[in-house]
Amino acid sequence: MSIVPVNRFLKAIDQFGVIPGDDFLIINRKRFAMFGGLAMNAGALMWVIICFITGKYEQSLIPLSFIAISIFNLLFFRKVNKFDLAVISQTFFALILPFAFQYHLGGISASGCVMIWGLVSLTVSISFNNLNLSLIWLCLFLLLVVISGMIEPGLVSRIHSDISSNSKILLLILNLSMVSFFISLLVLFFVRENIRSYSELKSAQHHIIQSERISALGTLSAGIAHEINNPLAIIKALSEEEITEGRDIYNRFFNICHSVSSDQFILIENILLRNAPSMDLLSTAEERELISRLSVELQEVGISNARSYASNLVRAGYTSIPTEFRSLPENLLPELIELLSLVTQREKNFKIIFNASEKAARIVRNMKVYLHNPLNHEKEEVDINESIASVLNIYENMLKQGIDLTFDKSDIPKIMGFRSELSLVWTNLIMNALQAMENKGSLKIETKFEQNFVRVSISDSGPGIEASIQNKIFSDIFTTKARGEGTGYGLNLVKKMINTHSGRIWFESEVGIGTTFHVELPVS
Amino acid sequence: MIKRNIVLLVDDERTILSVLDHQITSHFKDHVLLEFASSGQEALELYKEYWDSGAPIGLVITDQIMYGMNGDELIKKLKEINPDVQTVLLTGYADIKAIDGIINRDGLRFIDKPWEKSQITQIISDTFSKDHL
Repeated sequence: MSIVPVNRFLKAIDQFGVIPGDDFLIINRKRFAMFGGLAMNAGALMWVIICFITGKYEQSLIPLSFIAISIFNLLFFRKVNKFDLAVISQTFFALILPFAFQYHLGGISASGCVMIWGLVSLTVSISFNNLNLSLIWLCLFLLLVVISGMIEPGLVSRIHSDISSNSKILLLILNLSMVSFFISLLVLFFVRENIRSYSELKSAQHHIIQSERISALGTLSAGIAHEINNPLAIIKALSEEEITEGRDIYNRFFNICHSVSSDQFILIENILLRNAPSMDLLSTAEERELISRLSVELQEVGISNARSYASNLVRAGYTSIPTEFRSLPENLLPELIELLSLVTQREKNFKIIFNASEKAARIVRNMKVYLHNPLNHEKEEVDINESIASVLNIYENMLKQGIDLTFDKSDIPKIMGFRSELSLVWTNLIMNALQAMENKGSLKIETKFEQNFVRVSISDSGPGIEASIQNKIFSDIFTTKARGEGTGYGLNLVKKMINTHSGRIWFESEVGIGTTFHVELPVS
Repeated sequence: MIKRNIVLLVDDERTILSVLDHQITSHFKDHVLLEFASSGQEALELYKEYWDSGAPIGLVITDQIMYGMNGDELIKKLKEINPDVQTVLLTGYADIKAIDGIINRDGLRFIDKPWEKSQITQIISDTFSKDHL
C-alpha cells in the first residue's frame, strides 16, 4: 500500500512537462529530463540532510540553493513553456554546483568526491537532442575534473577538514552508489522508452498503410459501382420491356394478317423475313437527318403524322422507304411500320443487352486483374499496359469528366511483379494527378521500353509541385489534401511498392505547367 | 400543325438513348416526340433551334457524366435560354456528391441509375399533364 503515493508522485513527474501537441520524441525528452531533475534533487536533498546532521548549516546553502533553482526552473519555464531553456539551466547548475560544493567541503577526498554528481548532469544532457551541446557539456565536466585535481593539493593544505577518514570513505561510497544508481536508472528508462516509441511508430505506420489500402478499395468499389450502373440500367430496362411488351408484336402481326388479301400477305411476309437493312446504331445527328428526309418522303406518299412514322422506320433500321410499301394500301402502312420497328428493335435490344453484359463482364475481369493477388504471394508476369488499362477502365466515368486522356502504349515486355500492388501504384498516381488538376485538364500516360526496364510516365497539366515541398512528397504522412480526402500516405506507399519491385520513381514538375511522375521497373 | 410534346434525351452512351427511346415510345406511342443528343453541346444547339422555331422542347432528360459538358452544366446553360426549362438529371450513385450541390441550388429533379421505367414515364406525364397525353 505504501508504494501507491510514490507511484502517483512518479506519474505526476512523468507527465508534468508534457503539453498537448508534443510528438513522442519531445515527450520522451521531457520525461527523461524530469526524472534526471528528480535524481539531481535527490542528491541535493541527501546532502542537505547530511549537512544538517553534521551541523554544517552554512555548507547546506549550496544544495539548498540547487533545490530552489530546480523549483524555479520547474515553475517558471513551464509557465512560459520554454522546455529547452529549463533543461539547459537545470543541467548547468547540476554540473557546476557539485564542484563548488566540493570546494566548500574541503576538496575531492574530504567530500567523498561529491563532484561525480556532475555525471547525472552529463547524462541528462542527452535530452538536449543536440550532439554539439552534449559534447560541450562533456568538455566542461572534464575541465572541472582536471581543475579539481589541480587545486586539490593546495586546497587540502589550506582548509583543515574535520571529516574523519572513515566518514570520507562512507561519503564516497554514498556518492558513488547513489550516482551510479540514478544514472543506470535514467539510461535504462531512456533506452526502454525509445524502443517502445519505435515499435509504437511501426505499428502506427502499419495501420496507416492498412487504411490507405482500405481507402483505395473504397475508391475502387465506388468506381466499379458507377461503371456497372449503366450496363445494369440497360439490361434491366430492356428485359422489363420484353416482359411487358413482348406479346404486343404478335397481336399487331395477327391484326395486320386479318386485314389483308393473300397477295398483300406475301408482300408483308417478304418485308418481315428480309433482314433489316441496318442493325447499327446511328449517331444522333445522322439519325435526325435521316428522320427528316424520310418524313418528307412519307408526306409525299400522303401519310399524315409522317414524322413519327419516319422515326419508326429509322428504328426499324431502314434508310429509305421499302419499295414494297408502294403496293400496299396507305391505311395499312402506319401499322406495318410500327410492327417493323418493334421487330427490329427487339433484335437490337437483345444485341444491346448482350453488349451491356459483355461490358459488365469486362469490368469484373478488369477488377480481377486489378486485385489479383497470387496465393503464394510470389511475383508473376505482369503486362504493364494491361495493368494500366484495367485501372483506366475501372475509373472510366471518373476520367471522362473534363479530363483529356491520352494513353500512349508502346510494345513493352512483361515484368515480374505483384499485380494488385502495381494497380494501386497507377491508381494512386492517376488519382493524385486528377486531384492536382481538380478534374480539369489533360492526363497523359506513356509506356516505354528502355534497355533493361519499362518506364511509365504519368503527366498532368496541374499547378505543379512547389519547390518548397518537392523533397517532402515521398515522405511519411505528407499531404496537401483536405482532411478526409486521403491519408497522405499514398506516395510513400507508392514508393515502397516500387521498391519491392526494385524499381524507382521520380518526378519532374514545373509550377504552372504540370507534373510528370516517372516509374521505372526492371525487366528481369 | 399539331402541337407536340417534345422530350430531349441527352447521353453520350448511344445505347442508353436507345433504351430510353424504347421505354418512352412503348408507353406514350406517338403522343411524345423524342429528340436525341449525344453531348451537351449538341443538346444545347438542338434546344436553341426548337426554341427559336417557336415549338420549344418541353422536357430535357440528361445524363450527368458525359464527355465534354456535364449534365449540370448543360442545365445551367439551358436556363440561360429559358429560365423555366424543365429538366431531369439521370445520375449514378457515385455522383451524389455533385448532385447535392445542384439540388440545393435549383431544386432540380433527378433519377437514380438504374432507373425504373415508371419513374421516367411519371415525370413525362407530370410535365405534360396539362397538354393531355
